[in-house]
Amino acid sequence: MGGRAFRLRRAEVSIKHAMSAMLPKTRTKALLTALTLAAAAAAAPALADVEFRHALDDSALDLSPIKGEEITDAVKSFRKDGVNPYNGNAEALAAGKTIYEDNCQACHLDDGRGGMGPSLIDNVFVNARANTDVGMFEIIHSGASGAMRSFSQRGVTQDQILKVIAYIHSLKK
Amino acid sequence: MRMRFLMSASILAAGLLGTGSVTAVAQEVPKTPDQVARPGGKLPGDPKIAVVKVAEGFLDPVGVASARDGTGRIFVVERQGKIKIVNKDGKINEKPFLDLTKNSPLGSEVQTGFVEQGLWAVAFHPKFKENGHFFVSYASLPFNGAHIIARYTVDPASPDVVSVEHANKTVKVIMNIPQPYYNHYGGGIQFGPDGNLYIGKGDAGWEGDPLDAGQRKDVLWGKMLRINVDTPDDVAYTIPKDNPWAGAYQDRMMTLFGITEKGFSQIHMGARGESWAYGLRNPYAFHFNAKTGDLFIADVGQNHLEEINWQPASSKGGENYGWKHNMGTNCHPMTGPDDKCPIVGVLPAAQYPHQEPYPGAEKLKDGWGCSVQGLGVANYGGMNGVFLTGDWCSGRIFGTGWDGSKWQLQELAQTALQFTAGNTDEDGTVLAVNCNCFYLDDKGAAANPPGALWKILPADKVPAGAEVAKTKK
Repeated sequence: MGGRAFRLRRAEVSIKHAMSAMLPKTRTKALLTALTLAAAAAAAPALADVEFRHALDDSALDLSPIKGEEITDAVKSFRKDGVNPYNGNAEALAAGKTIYEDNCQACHLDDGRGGMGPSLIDNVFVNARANTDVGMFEIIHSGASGAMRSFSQRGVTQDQILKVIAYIHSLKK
Repeated sequence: MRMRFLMSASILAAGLLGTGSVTAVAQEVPKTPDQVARPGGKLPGDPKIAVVKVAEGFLDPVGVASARDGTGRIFVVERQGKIKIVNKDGKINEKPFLDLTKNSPLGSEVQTGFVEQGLWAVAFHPKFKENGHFFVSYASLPFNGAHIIARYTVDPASPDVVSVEHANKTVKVIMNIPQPYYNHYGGGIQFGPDGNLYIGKGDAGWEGDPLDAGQRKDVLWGKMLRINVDTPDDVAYTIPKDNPWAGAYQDRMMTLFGITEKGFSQIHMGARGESWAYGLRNPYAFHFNAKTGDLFIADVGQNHLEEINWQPASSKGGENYGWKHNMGTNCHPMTGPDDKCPIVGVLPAAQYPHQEPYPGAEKLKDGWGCSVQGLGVANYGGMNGVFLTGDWCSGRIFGTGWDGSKWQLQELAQTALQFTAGNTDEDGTVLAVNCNCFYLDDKGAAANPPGALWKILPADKVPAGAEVAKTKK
């Protein structure tokens, strides 16, 4: 799956992942070296600065675009710094509401308080990273366990995921 | 009555303990709630498993079976109404073994409108190799969602494909069970070691069993059914004489004296003789231990608890699993962690909670699920009569087993899979299938992202290069 560029990116993410176990100083240095090497060796496209990992086993996520998907500026920016540019954006929230109603509300209920799926508005996080936008993105994009399936596989784009995350934040009172 | 294997079960249990200081106790149904196993237990030997992919690309696979005919073929049931063959080498035959979506000029035979509807299961006659009979269980479109159990027969000249023509020529309807609501069908079917066909029959739907189906004796819903299908072609099935209520309902002269109280208690006017056990909610998947003949039933619970029941091979049937008075060791409706109410009938061997284990409880972070699916009984990899179950919501695989003195429930893995069913292969390996078909997720039985067929292997027996399911570290 994926073209050459994708495979390169996967390799880089894996390098970053391996680095994460090292001590901070060593890690930064080694990371820079590894990234420089990777970039030099492959003349890779812009690197994904945020490390996206599967909620269950920390394996690197496949962020290849799905059929017909355009990687928007919002997604590019999110991949760089992990900050969701749609948070608080009224237009994005309106779009996010529709996406939420189509895909999320049956399990998490209309106000996000949780039903068959866990609450999205309390402070209980089964997955330690789920209290961050990156963690939410990882779970919505690639699934977590059991019934929380990959919504990327179901045709939800990464841009839509960012919008629905922004909407979920707006449900928190 | 099923074959009696209790003695061998207790010998096995004793064997498990080896020379330990604990005295082995024969495997038995828990008598008190504290004897019911819960998450956090340890199975003898602390088995380690791996979930290894066999084949993929199935549309909503919700059932799987082996024909046990020496061919090594595995039959994967797709909810839409097709059965696919996976050959020994892992290759999937392009043409389905059976295709119920095309057997009528008016369209499919199978109702799939709700995710709990569809073709659920296939079971091969114990003498399949000689007679070619296999049985399917599904929600019928022409019968407005009624639960049909039908027998088909393979054409020996075409062992891998039952053509539409041949299917229509050989079909024999065994049962047509009305279904008032679109959920809680049950649906699993299995031949027991006694040669009878067992049918897991749900309480027919809604929530809270509004029909009181679990406890009523005059309906087939909410039961484990047991029928004899070795009958002439013009007789759909017969009721085995040793079913617990086989003779409970028959026209008879009223006799008020001269009968013992026990004798009176056995008269149940209106009782359905097909019933083997009752008080069940949604026993979709159940499995016999091929080694002992014991029966495990995974009974899907309502809001807070999942239940795993065990019957020894010596059971004479008639067990009441308590629904809707109880769910597991608790009351229904459940009010708290230690709510008090009479325990009706027999207790499960094991139970595990939902994320909210009782109304208003703090959400659990570990050890929970929402819908228990029986995968099969494992007698390998250090497991001895361990019933493996996969949860539809949390992807957890739990093992239920006897440790020589009590039941244990151990979480063996947490996967990212949405388990729907399982079965044992010809060599006893437990198989599992997963879909991507959660309620609102359901885009239609032929439109959801495909699922896969897996086998559960000992962790140290994974073949080189095999794909192993993601599991939580």
